[in-house]
Amino acid sequence: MNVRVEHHAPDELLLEYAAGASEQAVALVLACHATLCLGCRARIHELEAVGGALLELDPRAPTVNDQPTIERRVAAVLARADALDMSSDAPVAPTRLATTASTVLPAPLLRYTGPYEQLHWRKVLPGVHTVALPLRLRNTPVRLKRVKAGLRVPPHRHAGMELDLVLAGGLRDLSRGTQYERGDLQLSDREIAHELQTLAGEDCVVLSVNEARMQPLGLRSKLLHWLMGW
Amino acid sequence: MQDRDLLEAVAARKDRAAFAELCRRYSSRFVNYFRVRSAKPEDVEELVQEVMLTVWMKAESYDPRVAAVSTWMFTIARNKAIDRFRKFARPEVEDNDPAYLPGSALAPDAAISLQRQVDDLRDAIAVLPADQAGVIRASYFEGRSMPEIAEQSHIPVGTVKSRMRLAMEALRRRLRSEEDERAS
Repeated sequence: MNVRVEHHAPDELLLEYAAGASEQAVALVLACHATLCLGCRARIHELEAVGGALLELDPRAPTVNDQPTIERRVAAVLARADALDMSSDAPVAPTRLATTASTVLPAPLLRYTGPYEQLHWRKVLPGVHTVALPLRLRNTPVRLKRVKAGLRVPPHRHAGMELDLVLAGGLRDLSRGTQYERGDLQLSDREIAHELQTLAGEDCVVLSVNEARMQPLGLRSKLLHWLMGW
Repeated sequence: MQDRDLLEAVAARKDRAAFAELCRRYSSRFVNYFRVRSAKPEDVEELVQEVMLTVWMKAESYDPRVAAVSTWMFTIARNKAIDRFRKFARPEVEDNDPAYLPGSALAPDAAISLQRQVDDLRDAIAVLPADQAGVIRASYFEGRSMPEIAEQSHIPVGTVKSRMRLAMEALRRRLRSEEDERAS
C-alpha cells in the first residue's frame, strides 16, 4: 500500500466540494480520495475557509430593528434544544458503520456499499467484476470495478469526465505513461483516448465515476464493450 | 469577545448568553445565505434555526486548530443546504475511519493563523474583480456547479473555469504575500 498519493484532484473540483456545489457521486469520490490524501484534505480545509470569509463579509450587520427577531430566534432554538434534552437522556449515537475487517473501502464509500467482504460482484468479462452503486452521475451508474492483475483494458474514450479512484492494486495508463496506486485519482475527459493495464500482483479495485458511458475504440474494444453490456 | 471565546463558553458550560451573542453575530448572515436558495421566509428561518441548533449541540466538537469559527459555521450551513436542496447527505472524510491516513500533528498556534487566514481571504475577496467574485459567490452561496453557473449566466463553462482559476490564484497570492510579510 503506497502512502504517498501522487495523482490528485484538480483544484476546481476541490473548490466545488468545499463550497457544497459537487454532484453527489463526485463528492463521494473526493471524500474517499481525501481520506487517503493529506494534501487534498488540507486544500479542502483551505477552500472551506473561503466560505468562512464570505460569511464574515456579509455586508449587512444586524441593526436595532433586527434585535427582536434575533431574540425570538435564540429563544426558539434554546427551547428546541431543551426539548431534545428532555426527550432523550442519552445522546443520539451517530449512525454506526457495520464493522469490516477490510480497509479497502474508505468509510464514505462503505455507507453506500456495505462491507467489502459482502459485495455482490457481477462478472462482466473474464477477470473483470463490477458492483453498481445506488448512485448515478448524469445517467451513468457509479461502479466499483475489480480487475484482475495484469489485465489490459482496450483503448477507449469517454463522452465526458471520468474519475477513477484506485483503492487496491494499481493501474498504468499506457497512452499517457502514468501509473496509479491506492489513493491516486485518474482523471480523463472527452479529449483523452487511453489504454489501461492493471499492475501485476494484487487485483485492482477502482471506484469509477463517469459523466458518460465509455466509448470503445477499435473493433476488439467495441466487441468487448458490447459483451460487457455497457 | 472573540467568536472563539463565545463558542468555547457554549462548549464548556452551555453558556446561553454566549450562544445568544453568536446568534446575534451569525444568524442574519445565515438568513442571507439561505435566502439565495429559498424564497419562503419561513423555510429560511427554519434552516437558520437548524444551523444554530447544530452549533449549540455540536459546540464541543469544534477544534480551533482545524478551522476558524466562521469556517466551521459555514460548513454546518453548507451541509444543511446540501441536505435540503440537493437531497443527499454530504459524503465526508471520517477521522475514525480505519482507512483514514493520519496527518501530521496540529500545531498549537494553528488557531491564530487560521483566523488570520480568514481575515486575509476576506480582504482579498473584497477586491476581486466583479466577474471573479461572482463565480465564487455562486459556487459557495448558491451551491451551483460550474456547468450550472455557465448555464445561468449564459457564458461558456470554460469561462467560468478560468474566472474561478483566476480568483483562486489571486486569493492564493494574497495569502502568500501576507504570510511573507508577517515572517519578515
